[in-house]
Amino acid sequence: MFLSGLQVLLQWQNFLIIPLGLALGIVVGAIPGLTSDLGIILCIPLTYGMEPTMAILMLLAIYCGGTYGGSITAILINTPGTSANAATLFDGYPMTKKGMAYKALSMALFASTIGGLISAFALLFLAPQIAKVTLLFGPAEYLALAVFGLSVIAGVSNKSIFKGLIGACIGVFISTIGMDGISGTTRFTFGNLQLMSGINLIIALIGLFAISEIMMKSQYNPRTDKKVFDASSITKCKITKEEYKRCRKPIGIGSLIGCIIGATPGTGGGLAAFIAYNQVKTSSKHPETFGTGEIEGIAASESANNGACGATMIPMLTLGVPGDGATAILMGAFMIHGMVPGPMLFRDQGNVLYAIMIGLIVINVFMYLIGSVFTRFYAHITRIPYEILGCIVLTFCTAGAYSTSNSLYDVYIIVIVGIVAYFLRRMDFQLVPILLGIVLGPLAETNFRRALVLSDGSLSIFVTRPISLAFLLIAAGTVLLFAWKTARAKKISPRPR
Amino acid sequence: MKNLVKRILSAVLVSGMLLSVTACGQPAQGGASADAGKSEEAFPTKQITIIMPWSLGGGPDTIARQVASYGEKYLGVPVIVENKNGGAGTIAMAAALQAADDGYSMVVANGPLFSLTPSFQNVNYTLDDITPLIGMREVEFVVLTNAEKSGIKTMDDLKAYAASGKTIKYATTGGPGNDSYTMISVLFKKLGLAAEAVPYDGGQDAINALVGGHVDVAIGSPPVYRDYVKNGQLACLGTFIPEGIDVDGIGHIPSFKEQGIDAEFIGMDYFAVRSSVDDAKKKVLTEFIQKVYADADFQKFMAEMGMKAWEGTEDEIITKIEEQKESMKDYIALLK
Amino acid sequence: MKIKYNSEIISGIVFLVAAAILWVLVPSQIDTLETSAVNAQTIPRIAIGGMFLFSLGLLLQGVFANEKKVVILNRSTFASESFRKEMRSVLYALILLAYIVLLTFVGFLISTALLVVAILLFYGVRKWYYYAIPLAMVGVVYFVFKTLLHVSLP
Repeated sequence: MFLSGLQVLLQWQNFLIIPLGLALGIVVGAIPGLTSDLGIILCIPLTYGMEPTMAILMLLAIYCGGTYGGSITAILINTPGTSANAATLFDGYPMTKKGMAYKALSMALFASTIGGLISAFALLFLAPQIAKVTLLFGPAEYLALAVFGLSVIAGVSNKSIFKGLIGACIGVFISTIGMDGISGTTRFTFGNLQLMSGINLIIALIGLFAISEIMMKSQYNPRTDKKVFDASSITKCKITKEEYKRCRKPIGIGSLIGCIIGATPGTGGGLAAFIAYNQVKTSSKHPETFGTGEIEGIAASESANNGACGATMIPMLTLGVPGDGATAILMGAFMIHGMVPGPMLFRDQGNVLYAIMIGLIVINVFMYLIGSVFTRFYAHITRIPYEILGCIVLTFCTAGAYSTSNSLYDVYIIVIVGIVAYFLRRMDFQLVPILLGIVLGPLAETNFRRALVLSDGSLSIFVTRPISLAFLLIAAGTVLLFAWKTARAKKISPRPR
Repeated sequence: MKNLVKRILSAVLVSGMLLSVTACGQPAQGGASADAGKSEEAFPTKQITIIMPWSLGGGPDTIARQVASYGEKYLGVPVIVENKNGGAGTIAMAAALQAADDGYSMVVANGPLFSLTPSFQNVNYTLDDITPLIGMREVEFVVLTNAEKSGIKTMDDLKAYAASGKTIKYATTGGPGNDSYTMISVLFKKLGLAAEAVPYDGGQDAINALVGGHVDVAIGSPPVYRDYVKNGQLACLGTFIPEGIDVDGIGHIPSFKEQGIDAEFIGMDYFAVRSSVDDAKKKVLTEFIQKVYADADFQKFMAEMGMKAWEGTEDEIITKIEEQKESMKDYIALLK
Repeated sequence: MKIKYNSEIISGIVFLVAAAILWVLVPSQIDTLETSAVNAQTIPRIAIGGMFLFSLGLLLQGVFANEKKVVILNRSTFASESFRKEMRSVLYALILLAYIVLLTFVGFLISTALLVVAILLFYGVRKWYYYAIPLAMVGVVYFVFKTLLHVSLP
């Protein structure tokens, strides 16, 4: 099976289509408002005429490229290209401000590649075992996972826990707007039909990060605040050997968490990146450097989101349940090419699947090569004066927001959300808890409601099931450990910055 | 000067890359095919979207995606499927009625959206808002159990399980107002067993909940449950189709009616457009789907999946919905 | 007039009021036909209730714990550097709002071109090619979305 899969893979067309898909993925991923989801949707019709292996490899290349590409904008202009890259903001943008954009971009690429490779190997060798574990996840486990995800808030809102919690509540509230999937009741739509389908995650993302970032720069004065980076020095700042060594642990943790979270349906790379970032920060000997341009932070979050890429395919292929939005679209592509995911897929179409899984490893190797070329060019974006860059970003945001559902409504929403988010940032709120609330709200809500039906209304279901209890304990442990570390840090230096 | 050139270069880099990939977008545009452009205005000239109310990988989604893949062949334009899950299909209906009535948006609908959902939710559409184009499939709901995890294999096991004082938890493919939710709830009411529904997000999700042992009973439609029954993980209790069904590889699945329980339901899914769409365009779309149904490759695919396309006409569909409205009244009264 | 404030007090009050209003709106905005204890209203209520409690905590923290800025409101406040900076942000927000109104009526190309010019003027840009690059990008984006993404921008 393995060898015949290799045979299917080794055709020259496949090696031509992979770089093409990757390049497209990196570009759409990097543009705020365009995501790898869109890239895949656009290219599905193009794959109709292709061999199944070639078609799926192209779409997978877009997926992986997009997940990496989103880090570029996160690092350079403080706006995550896709929701998976939001955790890269914490340290990516501070590094850019210090003139180390190239180093940050290189680390993002390196970590993405390693994470992607580990994930691809997990898919190749452990898919059936991981699928069995996934089936153990019932509503209680999903709720516990969502709570675990929300516990990250403690780590990212170190200035004021209240502000972080308010942010999470805002996020969860935003996620409930629209029609409730379980009962079909409309919620907070104010009779507006456009709001029925809710506020799209990517729209919220553009508003929260991109527009508010542009607003933050409204007080920037081109004459006095301008920083000039010398062209020749930009690419000189390379990752040192010592830094590679230091990042081994974060990348290891990130990839592992990426695989685990990725393999859990309904979560995805964004959550994996936050959890990995938080774990690395909490377990670090110097948590105070995180958020100020710590290269380990980028390593953790980028290895985690790409680490989720291959793993999201596991529940999709074995159970027919997509791990995140992009894999949901990929699953559609599989079905078009006559491969209906489910328990029988591996038996019926083994050689094609093996070709695809081995191909995923090839994709990650290619990603490193192509990414290194792109990185050199992209690093120069920091030299564009902000007046111009701001205009270009705004143009893309409007166009991108409009294109998500061909509606001006989404453009209104990004501007309004952007202005509100600007106010919040001026009030020293972090935006990440809001994003976490939006991402995890639906997961928490549906499973909370399901779990309470299963338990006849008793909350004990969350602590009597071992996996659920474990997640809740880890969540509580993380928060406590973090609180203890901050308290200790305060004692040592009574005036933290 | 050199500096300026470099600056401009990096500024247009992003656009340059986008332009370089436009090449891959071109073939998708390549003109409408001959048979589509006969009406006054050429239709279709761009991508057509099928709005799908149910989740990915379920029965109707599988068929719609297969139909969509023939877009280039028979219409000359790409056809894509967009899933708008939730709210028992009403979210998709809202989206379909918001979309422009230019014929570029189709929607997949079913009977219960009109016969059932309005009794459970405040909906803002009526049967007059859409025109059914052609049928898609007849829905054969089967009730399943996980023998390994719960020990329930037959109706008697189920009754014994309930008699031991436990409340049966059953997974449905959607919330109140959804057809699977209603039918399986009616079944338990008629059986007089204590049971509670756990709404899941689509057929695949519900079956996985059963396979994982999180619920005792689940409802499914082909093809999602087939492989699990074949390999012995799940057991069929019965179907709502009055005469029972024969499934390739499983054999005869008896109906509940045969087992003495008065709960019957023949669901159907169909393609529709907004009723304000131009008649000529409706015809183009209907003919497109007819051609796909006649395609040998398509028929082979459906046979492999153990499904059959249903070529119901507009009138047939409307009649069926009206009939369903009547029979549903009793069931709804039972649940409220 | 002398005002003592910090960001905790301001945002605490804003969200306290917002949460209270949303809480009152729940029954009218979430008209569920469900009869179970946990229904479509539960999670929104938890989120809004949480918002209320945490804002209260934030407000108390702001009033009692954290240091406050003192602003003396008089004529010189309005001429100060920081006030002018704030006004710049307000102006920027107004430009964005004007843009979405304009977008509705005259379409993407014209309104975005005007937006770009407005922003560059806002920053006091003088060099001609600084205008040329973003304006060209507007055109490129319009074209790329139309041909590649099949999205006809308004």
